[in-house]
Amino acid sequence: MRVSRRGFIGALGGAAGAAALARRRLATADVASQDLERWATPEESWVPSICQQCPGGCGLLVRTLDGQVAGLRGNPHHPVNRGALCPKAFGALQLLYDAKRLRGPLVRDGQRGRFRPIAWDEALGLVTKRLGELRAKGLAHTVAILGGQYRGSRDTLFKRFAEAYGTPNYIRVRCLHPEEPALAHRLMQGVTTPLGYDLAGARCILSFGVGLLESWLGPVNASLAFARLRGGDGPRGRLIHVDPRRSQTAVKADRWVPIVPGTDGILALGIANALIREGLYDRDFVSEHTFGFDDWTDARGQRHAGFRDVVLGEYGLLAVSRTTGVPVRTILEVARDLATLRPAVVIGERGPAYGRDDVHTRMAIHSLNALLGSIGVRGGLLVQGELPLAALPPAEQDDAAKRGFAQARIDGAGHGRYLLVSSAPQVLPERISSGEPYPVNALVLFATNPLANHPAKEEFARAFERVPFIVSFSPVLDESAARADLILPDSTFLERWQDDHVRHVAGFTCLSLARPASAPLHDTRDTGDVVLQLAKAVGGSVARSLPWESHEKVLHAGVRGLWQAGRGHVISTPAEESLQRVLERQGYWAPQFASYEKFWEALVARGAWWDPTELPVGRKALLTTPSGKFEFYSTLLRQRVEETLAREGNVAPFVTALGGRDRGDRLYLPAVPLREREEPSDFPLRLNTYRLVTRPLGGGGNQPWLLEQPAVHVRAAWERWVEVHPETAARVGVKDGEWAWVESPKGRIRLRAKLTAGTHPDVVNIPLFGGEGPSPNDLIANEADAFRGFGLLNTTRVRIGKA
Amino acid sequence: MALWGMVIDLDRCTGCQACVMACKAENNVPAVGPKEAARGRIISWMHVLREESEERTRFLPRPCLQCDDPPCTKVCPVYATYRNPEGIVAQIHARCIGCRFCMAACPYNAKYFNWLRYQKEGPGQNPDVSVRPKGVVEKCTFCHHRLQKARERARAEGRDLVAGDYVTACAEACPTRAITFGDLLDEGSEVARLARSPRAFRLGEELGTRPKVFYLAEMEGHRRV
Amino acid sequence: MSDAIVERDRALFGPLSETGRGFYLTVGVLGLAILWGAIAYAVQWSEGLGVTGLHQPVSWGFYVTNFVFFIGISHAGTLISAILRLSKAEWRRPITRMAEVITVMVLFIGAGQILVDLGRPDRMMNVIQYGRYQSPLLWDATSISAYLTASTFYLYLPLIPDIAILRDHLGKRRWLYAVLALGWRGTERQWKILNRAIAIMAVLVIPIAVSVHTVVSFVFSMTIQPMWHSTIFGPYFVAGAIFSGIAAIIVAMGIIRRIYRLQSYLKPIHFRYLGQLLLVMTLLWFYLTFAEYLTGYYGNEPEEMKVFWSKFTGPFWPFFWAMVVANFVIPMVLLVRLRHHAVGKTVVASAFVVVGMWLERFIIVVPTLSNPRLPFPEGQYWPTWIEWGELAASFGVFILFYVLFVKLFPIISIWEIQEGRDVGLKEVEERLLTYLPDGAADAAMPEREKVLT
Ligand SMILES: Nc1nc2c(c(=O)[nH]1)N[C@H]1C(S)=C(S)[C@@H](COP(=O)(O)OP(=O)(O)OC[C@H]3O[C@@H](n4cnc5c(=O)[nH]c(N)nc54)[C@H](O)[C@@H]3O)O[C@H]1N2
Ligand SMILES: Nc1nc2c(c(=O)[nH]1)N[C@H]1C(S)=C(S)[C@@H](COP(=O)(O)OP(=O)(O)OC[C@H]3O[C@@H](n4cnc5c(=O)[nH]c(N)nc54)[C@H](O)[C@@H]3O)O[C@H]1N2
Ligand code: SF4
Ligand code: SF4
Ligand code: SF4
Ligand code: SF4
Ligand code: SF4
Ligand SMILES: [Mo]
Repeated sequence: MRVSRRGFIGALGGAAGAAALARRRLATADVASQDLERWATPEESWVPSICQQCPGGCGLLVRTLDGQVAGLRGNPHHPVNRGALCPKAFGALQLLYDAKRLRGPLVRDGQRGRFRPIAWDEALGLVTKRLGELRAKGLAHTVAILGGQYRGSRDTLFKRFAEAYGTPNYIRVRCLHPEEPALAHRLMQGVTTPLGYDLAGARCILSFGVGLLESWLGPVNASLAFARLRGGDGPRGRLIHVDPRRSQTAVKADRWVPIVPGTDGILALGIANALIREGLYDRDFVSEHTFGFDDWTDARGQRHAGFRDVVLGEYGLLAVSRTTGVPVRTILEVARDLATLRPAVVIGERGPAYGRDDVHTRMAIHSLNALLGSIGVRGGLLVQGELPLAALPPAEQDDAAKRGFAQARIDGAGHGRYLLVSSAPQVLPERISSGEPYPVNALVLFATNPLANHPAKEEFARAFERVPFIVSFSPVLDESAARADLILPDSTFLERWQDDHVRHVAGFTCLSLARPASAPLHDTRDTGDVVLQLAKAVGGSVARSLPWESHEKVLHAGVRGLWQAGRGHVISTPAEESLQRVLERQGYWAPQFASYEKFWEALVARGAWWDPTELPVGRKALLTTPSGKFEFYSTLLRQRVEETLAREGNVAPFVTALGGRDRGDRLYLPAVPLREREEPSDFPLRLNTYRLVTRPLGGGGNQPWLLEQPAVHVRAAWERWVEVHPETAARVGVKDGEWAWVESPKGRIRLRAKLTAGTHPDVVNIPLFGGEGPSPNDLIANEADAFRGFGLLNTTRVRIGKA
Repeated sequence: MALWGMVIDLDRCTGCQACVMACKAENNVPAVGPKEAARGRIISWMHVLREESEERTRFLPRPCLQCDDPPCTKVCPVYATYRNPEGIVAQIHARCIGCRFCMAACPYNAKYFNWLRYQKEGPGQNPDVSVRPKGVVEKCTFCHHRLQKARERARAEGRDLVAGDYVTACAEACPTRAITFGDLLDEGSEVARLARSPRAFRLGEELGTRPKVFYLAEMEGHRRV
Repeated sequence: MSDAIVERDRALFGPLSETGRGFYLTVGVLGLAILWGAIAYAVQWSEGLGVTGLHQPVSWGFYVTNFVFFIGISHAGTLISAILRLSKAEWRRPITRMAEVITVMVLFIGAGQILVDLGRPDRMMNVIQYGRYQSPLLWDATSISAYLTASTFYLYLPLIPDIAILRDHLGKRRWLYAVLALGWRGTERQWKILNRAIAIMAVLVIPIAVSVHTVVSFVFSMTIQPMWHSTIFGPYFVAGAIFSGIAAIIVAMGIIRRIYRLQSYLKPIHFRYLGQLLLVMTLLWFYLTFAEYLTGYYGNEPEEMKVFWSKFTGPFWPFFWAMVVANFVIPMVLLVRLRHHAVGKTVVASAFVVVGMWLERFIIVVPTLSNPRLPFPEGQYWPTWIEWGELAASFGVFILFYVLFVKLFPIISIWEIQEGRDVGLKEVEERLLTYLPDGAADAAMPEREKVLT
């Protein structure tokens, strides 16, 4: 795609006497139109790329002029975003050109926190030496890798490296795993691949605090679905949003249901009560495809209470209303909306936990999908097909690797209290500090900044002191990198090979692939390449497990599977695509390309491969529980507990986390205990943290456009703030725009108060910011959530005062 | 001759500000920094306003409305802002004397002033748009440079400009597809169709400025509970 | 003209011949104010208007307020003196010069405000090169330059005989006066031409003056902004201008009378007459203000009301009510009875009016801009040291010019005073007779008229 600029400049010069930019350099003085001629015409091209500012994975087209990035737009053919973007995407330009980015590797210079530049070879040598020594001493497992938000080959590479090197401690900091099924889906449906919410097909969407239009798994895709809900052709659908805060999603929803934080499960059961009581639920689906709805007797002849009885008996609308703060009428109306506007889908897959009853809350919310029969139907929950990537040859483990890999994970994930989680980063600092079960001798930080973003940031800081060798891959000197011994700066996503698998968008499987849009601006390297280089340097079976020359080659190897799959195609113009789809529906599939090389070239030139035709999938595929049905009573969860009991002899910590033995069957049912209202204390307000649609992963401290206009619901620029209800503010004498202290038992921070009526009077909201400055994590106690391995972000009590 | 116009569906607009950032990236609109921002000098050719009333909140994205009878151009003493034949209200930054009369005259506050020299040299900028030195007024141009490029391209390909060749950066980005852009005189175009919708209204209709940016009213009230 | 005549008006030569400590002190203080302004402007020139308190949406502030204010003050002189001359008000003789000087000085300063306000003063010439007559700013430019030219002539013409007197009698700066006197010898023919020219200018200058403030008001009223878009603005601004102009003359008279001990020339009667005129203008101003705000209020148009209330009770209330007190309450109280202490009362009232009229201009310019139609954050405008500096320097330059003028030229027209003595008395007597029903003086009139108009 090359466009001549010469003629255009003529036109521009003639038109407006405009001044312009000399080869991306702003002229200092005003320049008259005739001066334009002395500028050469740069060569323009549009390089497909993938936005990594949030988990959305939208397709980009990056404009380059003589190889330098000079703008971007959405890739119009990308199935995730169809050319649309959200504000964060544009921040990528400022992220790329951030003047504060690291210019090359740094090594600790004396004390921690001081650095000097170092050459790549020397830096890699330091890491190799350290890793080699530890492995030789049989301490491979004492290397821990902490990874943040990324998907695809970068995950593959780290996972493989850990496996071949011999450490079980590849720990991911994440609370939404787009490539894993949500917990409730796993427990109630037995699925092992993620389900997709067919938002685009639904006529009614009920969201329990899911930041559809702001955060979650990409606001662009959800916004496109929202736009469809808002008409055009079909009848107008309805969005109902449950949230203690009047978020942008709440504002745009047809109904906003404010709720006492953490009581969503109870509300869901209240809605279930209404659906059952009024006979609005999908009887056919419930009777044919579910288990545990009615009372039942097990093989041993023991009777168990069914979901219906529990809901009808314990979740009367008055009790639910009292606990959740949602009026009875609203509960009934929501139930009726769900029942009458079909298909309807209910989403409760928030990132941060709902609170201590997280699993049951999520199960309770998901049980509504079963009551509505929204499983395995368009407009409901659909299965996501697996990407047919070519399997890489298995990693090779020598004895050292086997020994190390077989050690217990340091974070205890998959055991004890953390039985259900694959990573428990929150536990990491206390384990490091105590040296139990073993000390950590090296810590690798990749795309995560625990010293700022975890409620356990203080514990992390202390733990860092105990780790003799910390390597960070951060492209900027964030709080955590600043305490590292070695920084091997990653290239940003516009400067490196990148892939992404979007697994939550219903209706298709998709792989995005991008070549670097620009050469690295500084002396940085794609961490994917660096991992391969390290593996090579460590040698032996590690090198043999990661034999590729470069990250690009890894991608090239995996993508071959797509070409061979005999389905799907490289994205192209709508006309071409619809033809292809018609043919495919009729059972014809012709390869687009004669050779894999041609396929690969086209993929790189267009940015994505997708297979839009494989759905819908029958309900059977979505119900892979022992009973083959949707289980209101999760036999999977019970099996898990029983297996563990047999293997480990003790499941007390986990069962305690689930609610305790004395809850009996309720442990496996979506039953959330109705708690009494808490006693008023010195800290009477609840703290709610949330993500702004303008907040990119990493916080965006280096993206001035986003910092300057962070939100439209409050007037703020560059500053951090706390949203307070006017009544609450009046009580403590804080006026709009004034400084306020927000204080919890853990600490206090000073923020600008913004009075917003859009919240419960006893909730204060602080948006999550990144980087330096006061953060809600200065207030949140380090309390690990047993079902996500992350901190409980929503249970903190605070008070505010005038500053 | 075309008459370029825009329709913004308020029922869809979520106030996400993708349009705002798209505009900044496309037109090299700099962030002015914390100090200047605190003094009320943010430049935002596209500005998303929040309208709050008893019953509802709505987000109202406001580019320059490209009035067909623009009160801002008449007052300019040096012809530095004018309505071009296709209805786009343009600024000539190299001629503007910075009197700010056009700002005072615009009923929609769509014009922005370079109080200081905000635009800095730096990589990543779009060379197709003109530089704004300190002391001049700037505003949304309907991404006029895109029209010129689209024309160029069409000419190079030996064809006429067709619908979709010329789209503004904000319309291109909007994730709810709330912004529709095109030729209002082309009866069959989406933008012309929407501008005739019973939901369509214009800001300050009574002012007689005849904006070429239309809005579509929300369909159902966003109820507060 | 004999020395005796000069001797008789000795007092009028005082400021020209003697230079006391007070003079240097005054010039020093004014110099500091001007220096402040100069530094401020240098900073503004190099940094941009960002150094002011202006912002989005309040894009006009002090400078535009000052522009309207100073242009308003400029109506003092030429307009008033022309009206007085044409109406043959004999008591005008000691005041006209004083008034005319104000006009010329202040017009420069008023027009200068626009230059200071420009974001790109370096491109000023664009106005000539690309000037576009649709813009009220160009009407302003035209009207103000015409007024400036006319006023300068109008000041200069009656000055010629006095300059000649200075050339012949003062002894100092002979070369300057010789050049400026343009060879005035006081011949019959020269007097004839001079009187004719003054008469023509007096007639000419009145419509120009009215046009000036009318088009200044058009800068606002030609927009469709709430509380600007008003048909009354032309007369309202003209009345306000005359109002502030008279007040400025009175203040100047008060000061000059005091400093140069000209009590015998500027008598309480002058203050009383001007005070009465000021009172009339106070009432007129109040009437127009009332009409303007009442129609706005009655119409209850939401956009207008936003601005309205921001003035009455909102953030601008202190300015608005201070304006009402300064422009109406205080003048009313002080000016209704001027039998005693006429000088003190009128000067104090006038000082308030000058301040009040500045506030009026501010209250017209800023609140409208501060209340955008769309829900933007309303701006709270507050000037920075730069704008205060420009304000100080503007007054500084004005006063300095005035002081220098007084130093170089008689601030009270010597020949007109003498003329008043020589012919005025008789003429008034004769004119009086013509007013009377018995027609006693009918025969004597025609020739006189030629000389005296
Ligand atoms: N823009 C942006 N998008 C992102 C990210 C980002 O940083 N920025 N990060 C990504 C990551 S890592 C994650 S985990 C996801 C998280 O995405 P989401 O799960 O959407 O999480 P949040 O935006 O934090 O919270 C969503 C809403 O939940 C509300 N809420 C808080 N407590 C409760 C409660 O108890 N009940 C109910 N019903 N609502 C509650 C908040 O007020 C908020 O409006 O977002 C991802 N997407
Ligand atoms: N109070 C409160 N705290 C929270 C949450 C909350 O809701 N409330 N949410 C939590 C959630 S859900 C999550 S997932 C965590 C997220 O917390 P983190 O895992 O720390 O993730 P990010 O904020 O995305 O930080 C990513 C870091 O990686 C670095 N980075 C950026 N780009 C790149 C790159 O291209 N390559 C590499 N190698 N590094 C890069 C940046 O320096 C940045 O500091 O925060 C949690 N913290
Ligand atoms: S939704 Fe996420 S991935 Fe898509 S453009 Fe926005 S930040 Fe980028
Ligand atoms: S991008 Fe679209 S949805 Fe977002 S604020 Fe702009 S118009 Fe509204
Ligand atoms: S919106 Fe304002 S700037 Fe744009 S054309 Fe209309 S009056 Fe002019
Ligand atoms: S600021 Fe510039 S464009 Fe606006 S009226 Fe003045 S000269 Fe014209
Ligand atoms: S049309 Fe272009 S210039 Fe105008 S707001 Fe949209 S992106 Fe900005
Ligand atoms: Mo997360």
